[in-house]
Amino acid sequence: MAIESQTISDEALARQSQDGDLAAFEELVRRYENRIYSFAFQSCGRQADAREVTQDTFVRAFQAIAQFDPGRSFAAWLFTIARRKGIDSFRARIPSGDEAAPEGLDADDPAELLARREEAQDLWRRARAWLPDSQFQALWLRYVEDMDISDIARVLRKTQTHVKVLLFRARHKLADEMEPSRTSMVLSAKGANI
Amino acid sequence: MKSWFTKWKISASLDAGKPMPESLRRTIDADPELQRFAKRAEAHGETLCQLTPSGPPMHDSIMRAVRAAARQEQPRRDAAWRWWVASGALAALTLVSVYWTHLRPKVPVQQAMESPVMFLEMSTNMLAEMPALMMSPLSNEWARVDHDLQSTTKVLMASLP
Repeated sequence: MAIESQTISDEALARQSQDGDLAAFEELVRRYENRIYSFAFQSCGRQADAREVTQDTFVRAFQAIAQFDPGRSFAAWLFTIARRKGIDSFRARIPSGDEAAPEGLDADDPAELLARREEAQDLWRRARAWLPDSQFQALWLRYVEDMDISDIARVLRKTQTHVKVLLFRARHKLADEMEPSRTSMVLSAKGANI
Repeated sequence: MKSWFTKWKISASLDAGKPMPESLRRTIDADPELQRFAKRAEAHGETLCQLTPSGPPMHDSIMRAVRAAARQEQPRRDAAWRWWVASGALAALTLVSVYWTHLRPKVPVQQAMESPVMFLEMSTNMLAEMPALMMSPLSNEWARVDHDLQSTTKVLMASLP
């Protein structure tokens, strides 16, 4: 059975998946594969690992779909699994940062939009380098996934106040690091080392 | 400290996604450092939103893995079902055995003696072993039967060539 309407909510699709509808689950995979992959890639910095985490996340989600409560956000539930899979996979690893961030698939963007996306990618790369995992993930879920604080708290297994603290610290750190004088100092120090 | 608290309120208002209250806006306007922080935090938020999640084409490989998991899951579910039925039957059997062996109410000896089964199990010399008092109501009848038997024997012997 093909899923014809894009207007069906994620939670309704999850409910259909609970009844054994594999096509409904496939539609969920289609909706979330890039989002989960990006989240995993930003966390680990390796494309192969991110691909593995994405696949494991969906397999685990399929196996545990009966435990999903359709009254809650499917995105938060799925990202919780992705985060756990990421932790399992990358626990002992340090992000290499060698590989470039994945390119967008849509090449028809206007130049200005493309420039803004590059700026965003650059800022995310800096955030990855400067922020601890928990702050980075809170920031990612807030701005890329547009999750509210309660969903972020659910994904990160923290209280809402803790999430607000993480976001505050992340913003503070980014604002401090992006201070023009400080950035130029860092760059000149790096240049001196080279 | 005051500056830190105001930055916290700026961050919290960004979390809520609502415009900053007028009082907070006035506090920010009065302090250049707070202005810088608010401007940067807002600008960073707008920039960070611009990233569109993208990835390599991996839909088919994900679905292959999901289907493989589904195939593995089915025999496991069947096995689980069989296991529950078998263990349920075993538990029921154990309960019945325990009941039969230890908990079944015992029939008193006197009642058991009255049951027809016990009479059937008695030996053929029952009459000889029974007390005379108990046998007395039957002794006349027994004598008649014995007499008839002897008469029949005599008739049969006489009729033999």
